[in-house]
Amino acid sequence: MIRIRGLFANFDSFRLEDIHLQVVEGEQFVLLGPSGAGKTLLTETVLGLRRHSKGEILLGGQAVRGGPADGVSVSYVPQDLAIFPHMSIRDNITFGARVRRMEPASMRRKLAELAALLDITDLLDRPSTDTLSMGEKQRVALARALIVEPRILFLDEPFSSLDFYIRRQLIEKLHEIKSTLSVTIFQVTHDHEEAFMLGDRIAVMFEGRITQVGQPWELQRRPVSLEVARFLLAQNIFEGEVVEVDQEAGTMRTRVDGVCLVSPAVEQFSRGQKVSAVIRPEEVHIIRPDRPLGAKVRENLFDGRIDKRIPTSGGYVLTTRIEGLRTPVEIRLSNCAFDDLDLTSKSRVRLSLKADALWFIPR
Amino acid sequence: MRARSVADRSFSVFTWAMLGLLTAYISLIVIALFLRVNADSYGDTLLSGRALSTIRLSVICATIASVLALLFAVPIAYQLARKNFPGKNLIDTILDIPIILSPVALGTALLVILSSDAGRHFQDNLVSFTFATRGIILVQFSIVVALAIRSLKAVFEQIDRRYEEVAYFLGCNRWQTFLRISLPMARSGIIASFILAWARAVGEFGATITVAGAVSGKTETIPSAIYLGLAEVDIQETLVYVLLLVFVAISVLLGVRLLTAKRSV
Repeated sequence: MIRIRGLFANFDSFRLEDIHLQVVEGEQFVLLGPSGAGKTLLTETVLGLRRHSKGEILLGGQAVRGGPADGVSVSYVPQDLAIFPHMSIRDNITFGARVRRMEPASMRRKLAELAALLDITDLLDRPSTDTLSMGEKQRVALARALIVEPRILFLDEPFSSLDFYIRRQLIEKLHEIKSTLSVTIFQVTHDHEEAFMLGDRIAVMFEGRITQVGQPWELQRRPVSLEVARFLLAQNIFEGEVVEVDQEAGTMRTRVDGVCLVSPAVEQFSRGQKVSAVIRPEEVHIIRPDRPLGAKVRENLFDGRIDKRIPTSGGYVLTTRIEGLRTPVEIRLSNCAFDDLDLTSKSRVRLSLKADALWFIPR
Repeated sequence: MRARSVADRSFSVFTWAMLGLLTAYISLIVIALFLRVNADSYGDTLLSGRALSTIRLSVICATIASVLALLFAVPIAYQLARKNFPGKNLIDTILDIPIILSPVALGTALLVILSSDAGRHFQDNLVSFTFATRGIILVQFSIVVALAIRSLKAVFEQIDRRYEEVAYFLGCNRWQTFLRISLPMARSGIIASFILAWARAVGEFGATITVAGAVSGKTETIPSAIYLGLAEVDIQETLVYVLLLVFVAISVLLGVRLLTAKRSV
């Protein structure tokens, strides 16, 4: 559906370099990266709104060269939505249908369906867009983009200016849209949660380059670089050295400061390999002394002490110190788990760094 | 802290004083004009056949020149606002010449061209401009088109190109995008530009008198009538014409201010 091969593009003080991407039909593909990574520039280049210097872009099989591709039904919702201020809500939504001379009865039916799907039926008769909230504008922009039944929908940071509650609602709507309308979605965001909730696959972008493409679980558990790991909030990164690889047993031991981490063997690593060991805060478990150990948490058990406790919207982030490990270990707990463990600052705890959740990046 | 408070207050007094002085100066000019005109002079001047013909000519010429100017200025300003191309700065500068150049100098340049062999041949066989109403329109157009381009370029630059990009992906071709999105969004800016161009055309004198002269009943516009009135030392009639231009200026400025305040982009 979208194929990008060896794309290079130069802008005033920015470059897109050697971009390779493929988005298949019906996929919801998310381009994730920090501000200034070049996500919008890449999107605009793929849409043909900006020229590329080298490489190939195919949209629905049509080449994008020096302007938007012809003959492919594409809709675009930019970050600022671009709701037409000189039109009523109804005229905004039906604009594309009228331009394409959609049969009036069919247009009315489509409008009613989309308005119901996006909960904007009440807004249709408003004469002006001035009184719309950001969430309502977002829905109107989505309806306007969808009424032309696009094969590909490009969304640039669609939920960035919305508060948490409205954003969650719209993310759910987008899931519904995708399953109802079977449209391919290419979405740009800087928000991890949004990316992981929406993306069938996610591409991570830094400074004009795609660093990693994969399914959400791959990005969370198998970051290919420290840059990706840090960006995706895998806060626990420890520098160490592989001390033993037992291919027969399928295990590997890595020394980090004064502790030894056991993990499944990594084929390309051998003894002496310098590595960064990564584990997400959610994968570090606090072991209750009064309960039997589960099979998955028997390895990498360490004694530690809670150093800091920071409340978050859904629970707590704990910073803990493990004996023999210089780098503190971050743990993320839900409120429920935190209450269950009956923890206080400076509590002594037993931690498990789940072996199969450890990931190693060569240094 | 006290020193800063004194400095802050003195700065405020200074800016208010400057504002007050200049407003009083301009208001005094207008008030003095009103006071110098006898009440009878308004009727005597404005209802005379000559004045009616002068006002009618001014309004008609300024309207035609402004409409023509907008017909050129809208697409040119859009192109300049939206596209980057080699030589854009040079073209932009060339288009600005009529704004910077003294109107008499522009009129002289036009007169020289129209009086050349080619110009005379053109006038003899196609359209005559010198000492004709068409000459007034040509001169006014030449001046206000540059003004209209400048103001409309700013209007189109204010319209985010995203609106056009979205419309394009919704199925519009470039014409439809321009006519259904850019033009309606620029509407109040275009009207404001027209009003400004029209007012500038009504007040144009230097280039008009150079090319078209000031033949009573034929090429005499309001500014020409003021000039002729002064030459004939007919102060009362002159002042009525001046006040008419002041009235036009105030109406235009208020109109433009209201329109630009309402502008949605």
